[in-house]
Amino acid sequence: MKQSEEKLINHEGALCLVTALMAEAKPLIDHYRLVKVKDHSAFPTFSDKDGRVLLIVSGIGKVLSAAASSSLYHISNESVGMAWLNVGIAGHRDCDLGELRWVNKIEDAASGKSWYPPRILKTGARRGSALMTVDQPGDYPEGDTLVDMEASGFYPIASRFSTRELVQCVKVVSDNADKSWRDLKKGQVSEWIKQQMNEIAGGVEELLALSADEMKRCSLPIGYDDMLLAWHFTETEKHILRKLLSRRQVLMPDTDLPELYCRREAVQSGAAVLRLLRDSIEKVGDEIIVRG
Amino acid sequence: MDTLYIEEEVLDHPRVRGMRERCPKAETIICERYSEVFNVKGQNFRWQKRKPSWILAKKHGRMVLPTPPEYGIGCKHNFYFSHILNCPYDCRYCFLQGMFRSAHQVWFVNYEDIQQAIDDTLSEYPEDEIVGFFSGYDGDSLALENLTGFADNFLPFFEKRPRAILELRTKSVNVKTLTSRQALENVVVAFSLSPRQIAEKLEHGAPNFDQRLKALRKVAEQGWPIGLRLDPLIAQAHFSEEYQRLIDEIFAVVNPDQVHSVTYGPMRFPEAMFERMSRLYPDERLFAAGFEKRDGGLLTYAPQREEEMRAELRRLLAERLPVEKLFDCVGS
Repeated sequence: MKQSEEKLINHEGALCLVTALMAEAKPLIDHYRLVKVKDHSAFPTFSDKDGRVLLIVSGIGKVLSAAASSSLYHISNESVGMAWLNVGIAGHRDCDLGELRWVNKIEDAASGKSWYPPRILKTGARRGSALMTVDQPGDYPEGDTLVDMEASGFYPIASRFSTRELVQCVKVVSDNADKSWRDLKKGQVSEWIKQQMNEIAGGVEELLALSADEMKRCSLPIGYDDMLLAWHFTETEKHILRKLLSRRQVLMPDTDLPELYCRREAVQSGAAVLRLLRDSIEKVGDEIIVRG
Repeated sequence: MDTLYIEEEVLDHPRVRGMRERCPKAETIICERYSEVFNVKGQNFRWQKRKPSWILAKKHGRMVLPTPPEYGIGCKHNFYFSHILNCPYDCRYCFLQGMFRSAHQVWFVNYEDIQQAIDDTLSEYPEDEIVGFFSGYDGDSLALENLTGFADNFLPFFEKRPRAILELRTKSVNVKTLTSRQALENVVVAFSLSPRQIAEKLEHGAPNFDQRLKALRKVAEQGWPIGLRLDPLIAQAHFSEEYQRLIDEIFAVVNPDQVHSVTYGPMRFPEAMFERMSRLYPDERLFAAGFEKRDGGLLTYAPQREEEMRAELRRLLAERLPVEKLFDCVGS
């Protein structure tokens, strides 16, 4: 299926999934009925028909994970307010294989830097773990700490694209002190992810709802784009226009902007539009800050 | 409570151990400094407020700071200190949402260091000077008392320092610590109160007006000096009638003689703070008001409106209390 970039993202909530392996992606592709987006070949990229769930397969390692996340952001037309979820496998010294953990702290072993994905989802509450990202597989960290090779590449990049609450990592334990990562089979990886799909999908739904709220919060006020087409505004005036229209939307929600368009000929400049808007808002704005 | 961030340095602190025992199922995340979690860029206060975590930390640096010059309740020198950052309530006008990047609840557990800093501050002033200390600037003084034991710990401290006045400022009804012990003359229990329509529309998650009034009555009956905090003044329909009703209802439960002080002042925000708050809630009517920029970059109501509100409130209060007890937090 070929989709135009304009239609790729659903502006009522969207989620970008980032996996390292196709074996990790497969259960997600099946569950969300994702199809390949053929225009973009640097990393295999998928989307559902509504543009609510997108997925990119990065390959192994934090550099590739960061690069793929960045690629997906650009494919989405740098849309504001998307949620991001890194789904993958991780090692843990003594966790059972197939167990799922939401990541509450990411430490990059090479740099010593740490990040803390905010724990605001109800899904997976009280079942989080710290995670260490390493450049090469090796010994398991002490304590209740997962180990992977991507999260410290994914998280700091994705959290530049969206507010941190919308950026999360979830891992399924694939190896431990008794069962080496060397023995991993692709089919088994897909099976573990599939077995945890209910919980992953719960997190996805919460993130999509949050993304919808964030997109709404960041959205341009009604009439903004039309006005830019109808009149010329300087950059400063655009900033003021956005603020005035936002205020107008709050204070006068039941009125539209016909008077300005009716007087299109008489109102000749962006500055004049701003004056008219300001006057109309101040007539009501000062009187009913909190309605009785 | 689902998540506790704990600074490594305080892992073995008795108050931290106590909190972990009270919340045995909470997920514990160890950090080096609370600022790694609390101060990082790219967080959204509004979304975090839906499910804030706790951060247990040690307070470093200056623990007692001077209040803004216009803020006081009768003392020549006034200071504030914070054992917590943030508040469990979600009042839409609250400046904390514009000041902090995170809505997580920070709790500084090293009370003894804060108390030492209070003693150090007191020692800078003559023995006969009364010095004011405010505890509810960065959060509600009493709302989390069940978990922090703040008042339980600091009341005996201030009991032994009669020349220090402590203000406990609260919207909570968490007053058991106060009603179960003898009142102290030098501790003012200050209730933040707004007209009912403001409380209902803007003070999300806080106890309702009637509950707060009931708590106020209990504390007053126990003999504690009462503070009334009526700021911020918010422009609203029927301003005068709403505040008249508020004042009538307050003085129906408290004797004017027991009122230590009343503070009031209009909403004022530094411009950058206001920008952050209004971006968090672009659909909030409160922020769509016609604020004006004053000298110094403060955003507030137009001077005439602001003055009308302050004058009206002062008039209403002066019918009940001597003007010496009224403190306009902007200054005249």
